[in-house]
Amino acid sequence: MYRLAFAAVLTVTALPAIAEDGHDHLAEADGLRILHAWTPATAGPDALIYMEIENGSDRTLTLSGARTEGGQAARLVGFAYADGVETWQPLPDMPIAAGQDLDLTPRGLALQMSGLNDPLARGDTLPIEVMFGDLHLDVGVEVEAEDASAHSHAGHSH
Amino acid sequence: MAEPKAGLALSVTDLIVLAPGGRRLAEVAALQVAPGSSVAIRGPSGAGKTTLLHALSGLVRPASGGVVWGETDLATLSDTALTRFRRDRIGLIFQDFLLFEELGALDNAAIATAFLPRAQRSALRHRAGEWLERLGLGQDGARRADSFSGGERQRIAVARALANDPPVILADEPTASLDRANADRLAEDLAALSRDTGRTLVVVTHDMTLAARLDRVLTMAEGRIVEDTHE
Amino acid sequence: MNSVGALWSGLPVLMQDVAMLVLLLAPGLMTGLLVLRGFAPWQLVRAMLRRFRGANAVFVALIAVSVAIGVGLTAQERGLRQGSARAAERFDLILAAPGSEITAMLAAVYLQPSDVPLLTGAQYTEVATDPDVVLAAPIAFGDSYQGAPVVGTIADFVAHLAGDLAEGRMFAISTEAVAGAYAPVATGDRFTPAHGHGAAAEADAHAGADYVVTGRMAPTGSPWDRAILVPIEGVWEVHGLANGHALSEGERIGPPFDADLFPGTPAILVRAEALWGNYALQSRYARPDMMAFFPGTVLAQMHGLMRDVREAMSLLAVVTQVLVTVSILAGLVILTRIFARGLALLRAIGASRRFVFAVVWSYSAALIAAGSLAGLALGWLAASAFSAIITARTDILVTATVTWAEAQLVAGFVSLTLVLALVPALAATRRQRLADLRS
Repeated sequence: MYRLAFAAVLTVTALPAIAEDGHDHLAEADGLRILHAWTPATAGPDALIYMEIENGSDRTLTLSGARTEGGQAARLVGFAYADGVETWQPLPDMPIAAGQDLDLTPRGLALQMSGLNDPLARGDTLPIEVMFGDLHLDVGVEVEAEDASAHSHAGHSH
Repeated sequence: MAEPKAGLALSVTDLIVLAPGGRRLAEVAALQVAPGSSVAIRGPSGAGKTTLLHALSGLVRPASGGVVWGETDLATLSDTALTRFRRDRIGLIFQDFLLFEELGALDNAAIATAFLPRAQRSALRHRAGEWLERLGLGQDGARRADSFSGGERQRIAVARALANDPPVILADEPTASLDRANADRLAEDLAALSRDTGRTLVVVTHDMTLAARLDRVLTMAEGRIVEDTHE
Repeated sequence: MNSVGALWSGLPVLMQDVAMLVLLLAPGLMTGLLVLRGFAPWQLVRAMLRRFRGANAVFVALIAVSVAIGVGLTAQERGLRQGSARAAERFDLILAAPGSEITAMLAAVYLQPSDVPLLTGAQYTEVATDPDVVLAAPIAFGDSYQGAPVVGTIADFVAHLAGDLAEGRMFAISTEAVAGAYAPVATGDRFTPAHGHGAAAEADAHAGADYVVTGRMAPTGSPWDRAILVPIEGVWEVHGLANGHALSEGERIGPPFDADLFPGTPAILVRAEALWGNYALQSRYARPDMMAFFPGTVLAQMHGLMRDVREAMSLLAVVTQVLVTVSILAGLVILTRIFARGLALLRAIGASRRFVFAVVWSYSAALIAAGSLAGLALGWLAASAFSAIITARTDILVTATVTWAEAQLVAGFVSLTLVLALVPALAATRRQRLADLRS
C-alpha cells in the first residue's frame, strides 16, 4: 500500500523537471540534488559510482539503484572489511529522509555497475539514471583517474 | 642363465685416430678378430692401446678408416645410434671399476635399468643378479659397493658389463688395480667368459698372466700394432 | 578471453585456488615429465644426494630459509591484517569530535591512549534518541590500572562486544567493574585506577576512588581483552564530575542520561538495526561538529596505503629466493663436475645424453623440492612464532596460517627454479666424457 501511495504522490507532485544549472557536477529535480557523481577509470566490466545525494524535498526518498542508457543496471552496495579482505555487499533499497544527505564514497557506499561493454577512460562522462522509486534523476558520472579517491571537484558546495 | 650370445667379428681397416691437436694417437692398417675369440693388447704407456679400445667401442670417432663389428660399420652410425650400439652390443670394463660407491652391488650391476626401455629392465636386473652369483657375490647384492674389496668390486663391474648380455666385451687394464691373487682370479673369469660363452673379448693389459690366457696377443708401439702372436 | 574469464569467475574459490596452484606448478611439472620421459634415474639421484650429503644439506637449508622468509612474510602480514580487522569487527560506526579518524580509531577500537576532544551531552543525546540507532555506547578511555586501560561505557556495550560474561555478573553501580578476559584483576578484586597510561600515569590522582570487579568477559581477540570496563558514571565520578544523572535517580546507571549533567565522552559506538542503517547514520552524523567513520573503512585505507610496501616486500622475497636458488644451481654445476666420472661412465655404457641431463636435473629438482617443502613448514613456524609475539604485545589476536596464497607462491618458485635447473643439467651434458673416464 505504502509503495502504491508513494508512487501516486510522485506522479502527481514530482514529474521530474530536471534542472541542469549549467554545472556538470550537479543534477537537481524537485529538491533532490546529486553532486559530484564520479567513478574511477576502469578497463573491466565493473565500476563503482560515488556521489553526494541531498534530499532537499519534503518527503522520504528511497534510493533503489541506477541504470545506464544502454540498460545496464547498477545496484547499491556497502563496503565491508571482513577478515582483512575488502568486499562490497549488496544493500536493500535505502530511504533518505527529507532534509537528509547520503554520501556515496570509496570504501563506504557505492552504486555498483556491472557488465560494462566499453572501458571508462579518464575525462569521459557516463550518463546514468539514478532511481528513487519512480523518481529518476539523470546524472553525468565523471570518470576520474583509476586511483582517484575523490571527485576532482569535491569540496565545492555548488 | 641366458643362452650364450654369439660373438661379433671385428674388422678394422685403415684406422687413424687423431688427438684434438692433430697428433696421431693410433694407426691400424688392418685388424681382423674372429667372432668369439679373445685378444690381448699390450705395449708401453702411450702406445695407443686405450685409444684403440675407445675407437673399437665408438667412444672416439676416428679421423679416417673404419671399425666394423659384424655387419655394423660404426662410422655410419649417428651419435644416438652409436650410444645405443654400445648399450646393446658392448660390455665395458675399466681399470678402476667406476662403480657408484653409494649404491649396492646389484644396483651397480643393473645400473642400465635406469635408462633402458621399461620392457627390458627386469630381464637385465635378473641377468645382473645371475652374473653376481656366478662371480661369487650372489649373497651380497644389497651391500654398498664401497664395502667390497678391490677384486670384488671389479667383479661387480664385470657383472655390470655382462648384464645386458652383449656379444662383445672390451676391457681396459681390468687387473691393474688388483693384487696378484685377485688379478689371477679375474683373468680366469675373463678367459672363461670368452671360451665358454662365445663372446668376443678385447683386453688392453700389461698383465702377462692375463694375456697368456687369451687366444691372441697384439703388441702396440707408437700407435701401431708391431707384433701379433696370431700371425 | 571473455568466456575464459567468465568460466574462471564462475568457479568456487577453492577450485580457483587449486587451479591456480596447478597452473603455477605446471611449467615445472611439464619440464619434469619431458626430461624424465622413459627414464628411472632415482637410484643415481640417490647416489648423488648421498655422495654430497653435506653440501646438499646446506643447499636445502638455504632454499628452505629463503622460501621461509617469503612464506613467513606474507603469512605474517595477512595475519596482522586479518587480526586487526577482526578486532575492529564489533565496532560498526564510531562518532567522535572532529579530528583525525585514525587517532580516534586507535584510541576507541585498539585502546591506544591519546588525548581527544569530547562529544557533549547534547550530541550524545541526539544520537542516542535517533530512531535509527539501536545502540549508542559512550567509550570513555584515559585511565588505567597496572597498564590495563580502564574504560567507561554502558552495560549494553559489554554485551555487544563479548556476549555473555564468562564469569560473575555485569556492573550494576558506578563503582563496579567487569574485567576483560586477560585483564590483570580477578573477580572480587578491588582496585584504584591511575589517571593516564604508562609511565605518565598518575597513580595517586584518583586516590580514594576504587572499583570492585564483579565479572569477567569472554575473550574477543582484541585489545579489549586486557581492559577493565566500568560504568561511564564511575569514570566521571572518579574525576569529580557530574555523573550524567540527577541526584533523585539515586544509584541508577546507564542510559538515558541527562544531557545537562553529561560531562562528555571521547567517542560513541553507534549501531543501527539494518545493515544500510549504519551507512545512513554515517552520512547523517558526518558533519562539522562531529565525525562519523567506519573503523573497517579507516583500517582498509591504512592497509591499502601499505599495499605497495607489501607488494614490494613480496617481490623482494621472491627475488631473494630466486637469487639464492641461482647461486645454488651454480654450486650444483661444480658438484656435478665432481660427479663427472660417474656421468661419463653412464655415457660410455650406453646412456644417452638426455639421460645424463635427466639425472642432473632430477638431482637439482630433489634439492629444490626438499628445500621448498621445508621452507613452507619453516615459514609457517616462523609466522606462528611472530604472531604469538605480536599477540602478546598488542593483544590483537594474530593467527598467521599458511594458505593457498603461500602454497601458490612456493609453487611459482618451484616451477621457475625447476626450469632454471635445466642450466646445470645442460652444463653437465656438454662436458667431454672421455677425459672424465680416466682417473
